[in-house]
Amino acid sequence: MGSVGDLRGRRGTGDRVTRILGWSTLVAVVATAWVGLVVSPPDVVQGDLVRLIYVHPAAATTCYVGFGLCALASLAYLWPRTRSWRWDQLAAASAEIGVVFCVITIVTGSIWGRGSWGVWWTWDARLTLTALLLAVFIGYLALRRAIADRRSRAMVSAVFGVVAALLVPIDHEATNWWQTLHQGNTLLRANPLIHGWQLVGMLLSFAAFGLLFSWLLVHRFRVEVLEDRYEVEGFATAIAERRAEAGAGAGLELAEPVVAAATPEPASQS
Amino acid sequence: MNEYVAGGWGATVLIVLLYTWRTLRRGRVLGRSLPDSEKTWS
Repeated sequence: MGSVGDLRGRRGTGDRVTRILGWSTLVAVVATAWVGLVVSPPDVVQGDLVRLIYVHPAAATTCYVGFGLCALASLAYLWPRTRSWRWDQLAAASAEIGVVFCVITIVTGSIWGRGSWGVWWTWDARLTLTALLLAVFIGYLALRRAIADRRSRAMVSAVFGVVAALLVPIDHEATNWWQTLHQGNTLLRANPLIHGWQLVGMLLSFAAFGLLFSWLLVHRFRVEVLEDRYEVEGFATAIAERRAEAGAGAGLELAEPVVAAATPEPASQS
Repeated sequence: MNEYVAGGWGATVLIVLLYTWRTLRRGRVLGRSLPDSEKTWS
């Protein structure tokens, strides 16, 4: 991967790119809220409940994008010719954001279900698979925390990420493959089910959530890189302190550099 | 606007704000902890 930033002299993970993305996101979110909550009329069947479609489908799609990106980055890490820590860091960042949007999907879907179906939850194929997807990717994040060795963590979580993401197309196609209470595709069909301001609002929501995802991903990816640096530097400092103690105890001066040896790229692993 | 719409939009805004705050805070804390030489990856 190429250049993704230079944060020297900065206190956080923000720069000009994130400022542009952040303001674009804010404008898109405000426009979505204005169209979705003010301009768009109530639906003849669903009434005001239709205003939740300006959140729920976009959140679900963003969650799929997050998990899909995690799988692609994991594949790039597993492929020996493209193997780099950057892919592992991107996979971790996109999976975490995917989990956040998956939670939003389930929460807003449950609220819509209560208003529309009369129940907060039902073991419908789409709902069950989405809950399973959330559980599996929470497991992915837990796995990353459970393995201390950096190379093992990257390798095991890459395999896990690729396999886990296979649930995404199954979840998406659940309404076509099984009889479900959840409605089918609204937009991806020959005759879309919504028109006018409802269509405008829904398309705006996809743009807003896409921008929000991109903005969060840049910040979260940089956090992941900084965390790795911090972990490596802490490790190197601990080794240096141990060597200094051992050197002082034996009356020796140890001047060997230890930081450089702490973070080789993972290309040599088998 | 009914209570379900308010609840759905409110929950979404709350979750996004909490996650954004956590992410930016982690970045600031790490940014303060690391020397400038460790904060570039060009």
